Parts: sequence; structure tokens; C-alpha cells
Amino acid sequence: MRRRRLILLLLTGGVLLSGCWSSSPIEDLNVQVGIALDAADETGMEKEFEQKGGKYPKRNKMTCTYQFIVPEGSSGSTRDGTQSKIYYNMSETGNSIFETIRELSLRTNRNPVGHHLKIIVIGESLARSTNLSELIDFFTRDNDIRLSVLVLVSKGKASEVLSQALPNQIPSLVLKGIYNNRDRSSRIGEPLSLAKLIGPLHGKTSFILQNVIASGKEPKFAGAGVIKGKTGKLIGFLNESEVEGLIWLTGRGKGGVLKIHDPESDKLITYEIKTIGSKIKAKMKGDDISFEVKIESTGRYIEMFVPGGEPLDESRIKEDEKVLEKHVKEMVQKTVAKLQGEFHVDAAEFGRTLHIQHPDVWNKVNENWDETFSHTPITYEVKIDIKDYGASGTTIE
Amino acid sequence: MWNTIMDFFPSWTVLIQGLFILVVPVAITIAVKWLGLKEGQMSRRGIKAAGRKGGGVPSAQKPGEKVQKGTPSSGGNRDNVQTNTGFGKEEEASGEVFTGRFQEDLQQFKDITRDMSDVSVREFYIGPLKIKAALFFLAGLTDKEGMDRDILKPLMYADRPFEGMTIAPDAASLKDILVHQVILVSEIGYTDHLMKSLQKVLFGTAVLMVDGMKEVFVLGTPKGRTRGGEEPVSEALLRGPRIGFNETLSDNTSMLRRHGKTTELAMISFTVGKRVQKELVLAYMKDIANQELVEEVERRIRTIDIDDVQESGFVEQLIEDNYLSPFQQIQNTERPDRVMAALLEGRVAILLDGTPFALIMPVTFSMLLQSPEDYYDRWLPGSLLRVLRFFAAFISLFGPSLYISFLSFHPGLIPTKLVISILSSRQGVPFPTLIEALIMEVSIEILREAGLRLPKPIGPAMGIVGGLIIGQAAVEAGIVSPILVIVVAVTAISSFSMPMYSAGITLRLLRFAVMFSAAMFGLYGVILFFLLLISHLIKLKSFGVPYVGVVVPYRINDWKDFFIRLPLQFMKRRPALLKPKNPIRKG
Amino acid sequence: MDTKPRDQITTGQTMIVMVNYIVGAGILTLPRTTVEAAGTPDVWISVILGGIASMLTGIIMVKLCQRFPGESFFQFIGKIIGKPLGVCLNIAIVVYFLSIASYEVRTVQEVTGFFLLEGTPAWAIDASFMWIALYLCRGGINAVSRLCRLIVPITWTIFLGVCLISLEVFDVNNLRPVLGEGIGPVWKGIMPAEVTFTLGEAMLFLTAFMEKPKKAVKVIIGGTAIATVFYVLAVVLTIGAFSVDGVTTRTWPFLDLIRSFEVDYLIFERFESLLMSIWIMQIFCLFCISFYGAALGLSQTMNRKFHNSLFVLLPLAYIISQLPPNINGLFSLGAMNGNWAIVIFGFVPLPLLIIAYLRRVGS
Repeated sequence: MRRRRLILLLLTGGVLLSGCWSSSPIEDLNVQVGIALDAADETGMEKEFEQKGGKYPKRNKMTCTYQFIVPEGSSGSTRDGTQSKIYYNMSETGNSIFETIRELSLRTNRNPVGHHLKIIVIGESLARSTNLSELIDFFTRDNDIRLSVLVLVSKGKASEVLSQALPNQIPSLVLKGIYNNRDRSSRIGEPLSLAKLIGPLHGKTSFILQNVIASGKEPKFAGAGVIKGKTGKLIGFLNESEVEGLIWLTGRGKGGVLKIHDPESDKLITYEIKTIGSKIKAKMKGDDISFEVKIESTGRYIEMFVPGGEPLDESRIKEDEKVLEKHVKEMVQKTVAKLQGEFHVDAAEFGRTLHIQHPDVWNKVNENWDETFSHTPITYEVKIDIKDYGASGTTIE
Repeated sequence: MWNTIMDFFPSWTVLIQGLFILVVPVAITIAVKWLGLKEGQMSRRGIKAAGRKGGGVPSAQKPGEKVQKGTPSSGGNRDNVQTNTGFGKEEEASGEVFTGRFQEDLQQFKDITRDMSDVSVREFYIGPLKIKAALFFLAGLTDKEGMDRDILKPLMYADRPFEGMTIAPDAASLKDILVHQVILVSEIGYTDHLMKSLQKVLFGTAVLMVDGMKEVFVLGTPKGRTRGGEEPVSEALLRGPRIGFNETLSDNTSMLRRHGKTTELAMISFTVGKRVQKELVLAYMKDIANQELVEEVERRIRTIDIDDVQESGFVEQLIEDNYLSPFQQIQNTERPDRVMAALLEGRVAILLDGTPFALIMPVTFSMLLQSPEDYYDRWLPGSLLRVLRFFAAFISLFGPSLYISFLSFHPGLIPTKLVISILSSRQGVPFPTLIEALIMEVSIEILREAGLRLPKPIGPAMGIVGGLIIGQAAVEAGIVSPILVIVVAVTAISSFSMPMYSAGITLRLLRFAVMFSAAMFGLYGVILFFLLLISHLIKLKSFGVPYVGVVVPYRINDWKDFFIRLPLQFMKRRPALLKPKNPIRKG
Repeated sequence: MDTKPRDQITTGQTMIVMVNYIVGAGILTLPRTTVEAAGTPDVWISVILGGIASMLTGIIMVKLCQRFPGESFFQFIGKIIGKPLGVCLNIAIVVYFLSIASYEVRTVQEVTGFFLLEGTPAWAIDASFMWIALYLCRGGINAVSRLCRLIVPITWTIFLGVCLISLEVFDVNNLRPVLGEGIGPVWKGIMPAEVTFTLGEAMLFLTAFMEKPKKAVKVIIGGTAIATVFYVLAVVLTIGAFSVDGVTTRTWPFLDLIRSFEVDYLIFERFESLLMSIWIMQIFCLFCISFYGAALGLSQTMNRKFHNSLFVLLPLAYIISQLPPNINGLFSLGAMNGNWAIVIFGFVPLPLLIIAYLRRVGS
């Protein structure tokens, strides 16, 4: 009997004493939702800290701005209806991202955790000077941070992007939410999560990263940054219509708008995209590589200023399709021209097409693909199919 | 070379941890063995012998095994057999017998009932010959009206049978006359034991003693307070018979008989209890139930060794397989239809006098989540309800523990938007999640218990109001978070949806265990507990039948009645794991 | 459970045990190990070939076992090659099973310790896991096979469901070109695939328990085929999401696959909790099977009580699991197990079968 009691005692004691090893209650956590990485630029507060002796050996390489959620209950102002900021940002400068996070632990009792990190925004100057794989290494290695975190670049200061939002909105979540509008606009590139970033960075292929800028209270997705695979650094930006061209080229759009305006006749056709598809074919002629791009799209008239009041008959539609096709072709050509001529990188996955279609050739040109690509001739063929004209069957009177 | 090997040699801490890992299960095994040993000393549950060593005694021979020995006279069959086989030598030796001398016997009887004021004696003369007779009965239990009408009156007015007689006939012919011509009672037995007759009297029968006769008549006239077969409170159904067992064994057996005509329904009677004897009936379908199963149940009934079997819960606890298991291995029910359904699947039922709760065995896990309604409704709604119940069982078991493990261990596994709202709602809650959940769970359990004890009209209101008010107040006071109140409420509601009350209790009990496990290891703890639970269930057997046999069927066919209930046409076979004699339901 | 098998399991149960024995910790790392060796996205072909290879070795073992119905390998080996040699081989196999069990428990410790329970001491994670396994194994092969059968519907549904949702990040271009660099890389990938697969050695003792040992070949073919499907799915989906370049950088590629997407149209936004749960259950099964195999082997070789050998092996399993000093050590323990398996179960059974045939032992 005594022995059994002893064992029971030991067991319960052990359970009670040792329990909850890894427990970290949710209310004691500081939930990070966004991180902005910028070239080093210490904030005023940090400078003051340093003056008062808050220093440790470091090289000021980057400034990390962390966005945390402010729990509603503690701000106390939600009840009286006043709109308040439900997030706050903290900045810390250093040369190791992890160290700056832990440095934050000296400034707040609530421990920063990265489970719910959604967005990493990298500022232009930092992205131009540092290999991206160095910047994201911590995020891909950490056990809390998930690989679904989206990565963006910002033309300007990234921390500004994270400090702009309408009241009661969290900038990071807004940015993530904007990606849901890809069926509304064809000027948003594919969301690039860490998971999707690892491959190209490791494989040294070039790609584009969504660019986001901020002004006033709002952020805006504006074009994209081009990352050169060899160096992993940002080499320039595509503007909105060039991104649009790229999306038409790769056929990875989910919807959006195509508008042409003819200033002479003051004619405006707005075409709502329903589907976009593209096929790229690599052609070999001896050692010469060339690509043939076929783009197809279906959609409808959604807004047109074409005086006349005529019914939208077949010939009219055919005519407009021609115009639209020409426009798309020009747009795509402009984009590719910029990639080939200005940046000398293949951010449009032509290389992968070649790899899939002609693996043996790819092995030969793989090493110097970006250069080879710059001189590769590409032909385009665009086919647009206007399926219907909405609820109104005529041009306007 | 040597160094590399030494590098791999485990450090002392690892060895000590390994020792610890060994010691704990060994200790538990020893403890359990020791418990088993103790139990062996205390009771006879484990005795394999089939003899009548135990207190439970079969009151009838197995049907068709032997011709009954007693003297089967008109109607007195049952009591007679009991007299012959039921009571061992022990009683015969000690028991005093009636001498046949009236005054002596009367005095003897009065002596032993001196401290039983409710035993009444009525002396009278039989017929014109004025044969002295006495009737013993119990004031409250005997059907007095019937006794006056069918016993006293015919005896006292018995002119015709004694026509032409001047002196009292000898005992044998007197008995013959009385039985065949005078007494208007169908149930007649005889005994010459004083104690035995007293027992009968105390149970409500009238005992007639006649001058000159060594035997007394045991006349079946009991009329206990019985209750009609009302709808069972604990197992209410929307659809299905509105009848439940009551406290009288004969009523209950008749309810089973009345379910439908069958000649295969066997009911074997046993007497259980050392000091207070009660009748217990073992029911099964002769052509379906597995013979081994029936024998095993009979054997276990015989090992019952207790003063008084107060309720069928006593039987349940005394004959179940594993008393350390939190799961009930015998199902109790108040519904005759449920019992019949089980019998037809090849199971065995036990009915005990004095309780409306019948026992069904063996039990399999899925039965705990089944309700007769599943079968009465059409198969689609029936299946829906069943799936719903499984879901409810899951929530009721794991709800709070998942709350604990997600909130205090893995905030990363909760959707972000939910995290934001939980984060806000938990601000200012002073307790860790385990304590918080315990506070709410315990108070809900207390409320539920209190709701049961409270007078009927207040009870339910108290439960709801109490729950609402306490929950609301606790949130307002900042002791618990609103999310937890939702979790606790959903859990409580889920546990109410268990069709078996006692299964619900098991889940409630286990819920606390999972909560602790979750508080220690988070989600990992919950998974481990789940694995432990199913490991236990897998090893658990109820009367030799695997407890989760249906979940892990021997034959895939048994799945048809588990998560979903297939249309009745498809349920052609009885559950195979019961090894019924006749596996096909029809055709 | 004495040294003599009394429990019996059906063909279906054996097959499920077999699948559970094959699909184990390797599923998390297989995409990386194979891609590292092959360097092309064609490794799924290697995985299929590996499956077929392990099927073949499994069939040889089954054929061997079928010559001695009702007896496990540990019991009849002595009849073929004599007692002393047999005991040596038995000990080697027991150590092998034990080390498989240890490898699994260590993987659980590493993965839960990293992703779920940072900060909980390793022994606590291992101890609770092993105690429950011990409790289950005391129920004999029937309990183990029932557990497998019980959790299989749960784990398979969740696994397939999660795989389906992961199509969100799947890009078929990552798997192309098929055989772009010829068949060469595929061969290189077979070895790591084979190491992960194990060779169906559980049949050495499972056959003895089968109700119908004649169907053991079916079991090994069916079991390995199902397991191959799981592995191929894992490899294809992971490469499809990360591309060949990305997979090689991930320590636990398959787990990272589940961590790399979020859906907002379901209650769950993130699925690694579900995957971790079923994965732990799956590993638990595997641990029980190999632990049971080790204990059975020990008890039958030494003629000791089965329960006692369970107790003896428990701390040993823990100690072996703690031998690898770090995660690379763990991976090399896994690779070592696989290599040993190929030596013991790939090359030994065939000569044994021939010897048994020549010496005319067994039916």
C-alpha cells in the first residue's frame, strides 16, 4: 500500500512540477504580422537609446520594422467608438534579423512571435545591395515562421508601407488582401511566398517581385521589382503596364481590364478579361534559339465610348478584337524589350520553357542564360475573343 | 576508432533517463498485479469454476438439460423447484420445520416474527368441521382484497367439499381437497420450512397453515406497489414505443414477451444476494445467442457474492471484465425495445427485480453512441444523427483540451483572424488556460449535478440560468475569456447529446484527463492521449468480445452499422463479432 | 502471449500493418534525400522502382516464411542454418528492428521538439510516447494490428485531403522535363528511396500470425503498392511546390509543403497541425510494429517471456534513440538502418530459401 502511494505521489508530483514546459500563453505574445527590411537608418528613438548607453556590437546594415497587433481590449478606446490604430510598429537596426528581434525583447514584455507573419517588404536600397537569399534565410529557417509568408519589394522605404492604413486596418493584412484582387486587376503579379522564392533563389533564376509603394494613408501595388538570379539582387523596376504585359505573356492572370483609347476618334474600348492563356514554344534552328508566344484570351465589352448607337454585330466585334490584339502585342513586346534590352534578365520563365522542351539545349546555355536570352528573337501571336457585350447590346448614341 | 565508439556511448543522463523509462511502467505493472492479487483475495470474480460456489444460484435448470426433479403440482412449479434445488443443505440443517401440531407451529411462527410488527396472523376455522387454520401475511404487501375473496371466504364457507364428513380428513386428503376444491389461487406452493415460509410471507405471499398438516401452503397473492410502464426519463425518444421497464421483474419480463411472439426467448431465473435475496432473470434468444457467451454470463452471475444486490448497477460492477477501465462494459437501459434489439443481435440481457434498468452485454463501443431512434427513422436521417453524435462525442471529449493546447502551446496553428480576436478577448484574463478551463468546466459540472437534484420545476431553469449567468459574470469579471465560455458551452451541449447517460459521464471524466495531458504537452499530449485511449479500447474486452470490434471489424460487413446506418434491407447479417449461432437475419 | 504465436490476423489487417510499417518517418525527408541523390525531378520514378524492388525482396522473404507455417522467422531460422548461426542472425534482426524503433522515436522527438513543443525536454516527449507503445504492445499482435486498422481511415483521409489542398501551391512545370537527363539520375535516386522503404521485413514475423499465410504474397504486393502511392504523392507534391532547387534546402520538405500554404475557405487556415497529428499516429504504429518485432524476436530467440522482453527492450530503444548527437546523426542513423536492411533482408533471404530448399526443411 505504502509503495503504491509513493509511486502515485511521485507521478503526480512529477506531472505538476514539470508540466507546461513549452507553454506560451497566447495573451503574452506579440503577434508579428509584417516585417519591413530597409537599409540602415536608425530611428530617433534608437539613437536616443544609444546615447544613453543602449548599445551592443553590431554593424548597422539594415533597419527592421516589425508590425505587431494591438489587442483591442488593452487599447481601451474601442468602446467609445473612436477609431484607433490596431497595430504598432517597432524598429531596430542591426545586421542580423534574428538579433534585432531578440533585441526587441529588451523593449517589450510581450514576446514577439512569428507564427502569423504575413508579409515581408524589402526596401529598394537594401534589395539593390544585398542578396535576397541572405535576407530571407532567417525566415526560411525559423520554426515559427511559415513558408507562406509573402515577399514584396518597395520602391522607397519599406517601413513607410507598413505604416499606412485606413483606421482599424492592419497594413500587413491589407497588403496580403490586395492579392485577392488578382481577378480584378491584371497588374498584380503572382503572390510570391517564401516557399516559391526558395527555388529560384537557390537555382539562380531571375524573377519579379511585386512592388508596393505608399502615399498618404494608403499603399498601392505599383509594378514589380526585377531580381537578377545570378546575384539575387534587385536590378530595377517594371511599371504597372509592364507587369501587365508580363502577365499577358505568361498567361497567369486571373482577370482584369484591358483598355484602349484612340485619341483621334475619341474612341474607348474597355475589355473585361475572363481568361488569359499563353503558350510559349521554344524553337531550335541549329544552335539558334527562338521563342514563339501564343496568347489567347476571352472576355467581354464592359465599357465603351463609341458614338453611333449601332448594334454590336460580328464585324464590329472582329474589328475591336484586332485592335485589342494589337494593343496586347505591343504591351508584351515593350515588357520583353525592357527585360532583354535594359535588364538583360529572363524574368518571364522563358528559360524554364526551354528546359522543359529542350533539356539538352538547356544544359548548354544554362550557365549564361540571362545573356543568351537578351538576344533571343521572340515572335508573338495574340488572339482575343470577345464573347459577349454585357447587358447593353449597342454602342452608345 | 575507440574514440569514435566512445563518442557514441550514451551519457549518464541518458542512461538514467532510460532507467526512468523502464521503472515507471514496471512499477505500474506491479501495482496493477498487486491490485489483481488483492481483488482475488477479496472476491470470487475470477473463479473459473462453474459450480455453485458463489452466492448467485440458478433457480431453474438449464432448459432441456435435465427433467425437473421436484413434484410438479398444479401451478406451484416455480416455488417448488426453488425449494428443491435453490436452497442448499445449509438451510435444511438449521431451519426448523413445521411439526403439524397447530398450536406449537403457531407459537413458533409468532416467536420468529416477534420483532416484525408488519407480519399479521389471521386465525380461523375451515368449513363446517372447524379445522383450525391460520393465515400469515404482510400488511402492506399482500393483496388483501384478493386474499379475503379467494382464500378466506372459500375456506370459511367450504361446506360442499366436506359434505358427509364428521371428522377432519387426514393430511393428504385434506390437502387434496383444499387445493383442488377450495382455494381460488392459481399460484400454490408448499414448504415445511419455517424460515422459508417466513421469507415468502415477507415477500408478500400469504402462507396458510392448517392444523395437522406438516406443510404449509404458499399462496401467491403479492401485490407490491408497482408503477406503470412510463416512458423512461433517461432515454427519451421522439419516435419509438413510449414504454419503459418498471420495478417489478414479472412486469418487465412480460414486457419483453409482449414485444412479439417467439418461442425462442429464454429467460433463466437466478437468485442473487446472500442476505437479501432477489430474483434475477437472464434473457437471450436460444437460437441466436452464442452458447459460450450465455455460459460465461451464467458463470459470472454465480460469482456474485454480496449481501444485497440493490440495483442492477451492482450486478454490472460485479460481473464486468475490467473494473479499472473508465468505459462501461455493460449497457444499462430502461427500454424494452432496446433490449429486444440487442437480444436479436445475439446479445444477452439481465433483468433484476426491483429496478427498471436492464443490463445488456456484451457491449461494443459503437452501442454507446447508438439510439433506437436511428433504426426507427429512415436511414438517411438516422445516419445523419449518428454522424452528428460521433462529432459531438469528439467535441465533448477534446473540446477544452484543444482550446488549451492551441491557445497556450500552438498559437501558430490558429487562423490569423481568430488569433486577433482571441488575443483581444483574452487580455486581462489572470489565469493560464488550464486553470481557466478547469474553473469553467468544474462549475458547469456542478451546475449539472445541482440541476439533477433540484426539484423538477426549478431544475432545468436553474441549469440554464446558472450557466448563462455564471458564464456572463465570469466574462464580465475578466476571470475567463468569452471564447472559453463558448467552448465550455458547446462541450456541455455535446455531452448531453450522448444517448447513453453513463457514456456521457465517461466522456466527461476523460475530458478532464485530456485537459491535463494537453496542459502538459499541448497538441502532442492530446494525440498521445487519443492513442492511449484507443490502445486501451482495443485491448478492452466485454465478455470476450473486443470492445471496439465494430470499429475495427473482423469483417468489413460490420461497418454498415457504425458511422452510418445502412438501409435495413442491407443489414442482413448480425454482427459477426458476437459469433451468433445464426448469423443471417432473414431469408 | 507466450513465445508461441496464438493471435491471428486476417489478410486485410496484415496488409494495413504492412503499409503502416513501410510509411513512416521517411515520408518527411524522402523528397530531399532522393532529389539530393538524383538532382532531377524524376525521382518519383525512382520511388516507384524502389517500391517494386522492395516488393521483390518481400516476396522472397514471404516465400521463405511460407515454408514454415505458423512459425516466425526467429523460430525456424535455426532449422535452416543451424542454431548458433540462427541466433546470431536473430540478434542482428532484433537489433535492426530496435534501431528502426529508436530512429522513429527520435524523429518524433526532433520534429515535435522543433515544430510543436519547443522547450520540452526530449525524454519527456519520448517517455510518454514509448510508455503508450509499451501498453499497446502488451496486447500482442492483434492489438497492434487493430490500432493500425483503427487509425488508417483517419490518417489516410487527412493525408489525402491535405495533399488535395496542397495542389494550391502545386506547379506541374516544376516536375518537368520528365527524364530530361535520361535514366541515369533515376537510378541514383533508387538507393535513398530503398533506404526509406525498408524491404517488407515485417513479414518475417507477420506471416506467422496470418490466418491464411498463403495470401502473404498478396499482402506484400498490396502493402508495398499502397505505401508507394503515399511516397510518390509526397515526392511529387513537394517537388511540384518547391521545385528541385527548393527541395534540397529543406530539412523536412514534406512538412514544409504543408506549411507553405494557407487557405481561408475552410475552418482551418493551416494544416500542419492536422498533418502532425496523423503523422505522429502513423509513427506510433510503426514504432509499435518494429518494437513488437524486436521483442518477439528476443523472446523467441532467448526463450523468454514476451512481456519481459518488452520491458528489457524499452530502455534500450530509448538509449539507442539518443545515440545520434545531432540531426545529421539522426539522418545517418536512418541511412544506416536502410543499408543494414538491404544487407540483411536484401541478400540473406534468397540463399536461405535455397538452403531450405536443398536441405528440404519446411514444407
